[in-house]
Amino acid sequence: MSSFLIAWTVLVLATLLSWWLEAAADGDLVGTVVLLVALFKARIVLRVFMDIRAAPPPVRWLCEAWVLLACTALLGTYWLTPYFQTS
Amino acid sequence: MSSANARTPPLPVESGIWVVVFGELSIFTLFFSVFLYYRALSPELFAASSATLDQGLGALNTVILLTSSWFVASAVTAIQQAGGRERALRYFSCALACGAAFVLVKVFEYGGALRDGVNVLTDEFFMFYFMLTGIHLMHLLVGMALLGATALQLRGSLATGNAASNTLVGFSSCFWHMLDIVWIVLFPLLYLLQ
Repeated sequence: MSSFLIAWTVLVLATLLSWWLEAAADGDLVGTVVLLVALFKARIVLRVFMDIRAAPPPVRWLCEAWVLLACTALLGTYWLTPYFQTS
Repeated sequence: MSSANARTPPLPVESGIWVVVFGELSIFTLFFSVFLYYRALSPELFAASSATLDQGLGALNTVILLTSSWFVASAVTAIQQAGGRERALRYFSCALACGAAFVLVKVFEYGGALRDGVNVLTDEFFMFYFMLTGIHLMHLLVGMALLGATALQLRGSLATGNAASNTLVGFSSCFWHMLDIVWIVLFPLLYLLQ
């Protein structure tokens, strides 16, 4: 089985999992999981389809830094905006 | 696509490509955060408007773009293998077809929304929906033009026997994967978060 086929299968299953999870449950925790799954999928595309794993180290670090930045920015805004709004 | 494997050496690409890719990703990350900020200010409005979107169409477009990324990655692998340029051309053509399918689904979705009287001025959620998906769609059309140019160049190189330019192949493939990543985050933001 090629790495592309494995990556595509995981990506499609993760998409379906997010869809099912959001329909089956509600709440901020589900939203957090759905956002984390999305960034996990983005990282798979970067590492497998874009072949970042074989890229020069600065590009690999940039890639991991973006995933971390996106994680912080999205989850930070998702969780902290209501808190600052009410306090 | 089964012949694609990760052991093929990576395609050498120009460093400027990464500036474009990570620049675009950073700008879209800012857009995502602004969307989440406004969503947190009016959660009921955003949830009610988001619920009117067809999640099936959003999921379908996600699978279409994931498949297109698979085709593009397979094309980049094939182009580096001996006698793989014809296969690469087929893969790029399949990726282009996926791009066209994405545009068709999006046009169908926009058409349905406009028929229902929903537009960019309806509320804050739909302002973000049309703006974010519209910007992504414009980028996708640019990506399709790049894939088309790459396919044409490959066809020309097959006819003349000359080597294809790694710069165009590298740029169009990285740009296309970047579009896939943006949609991967847009789908849950717009369609799933309730």
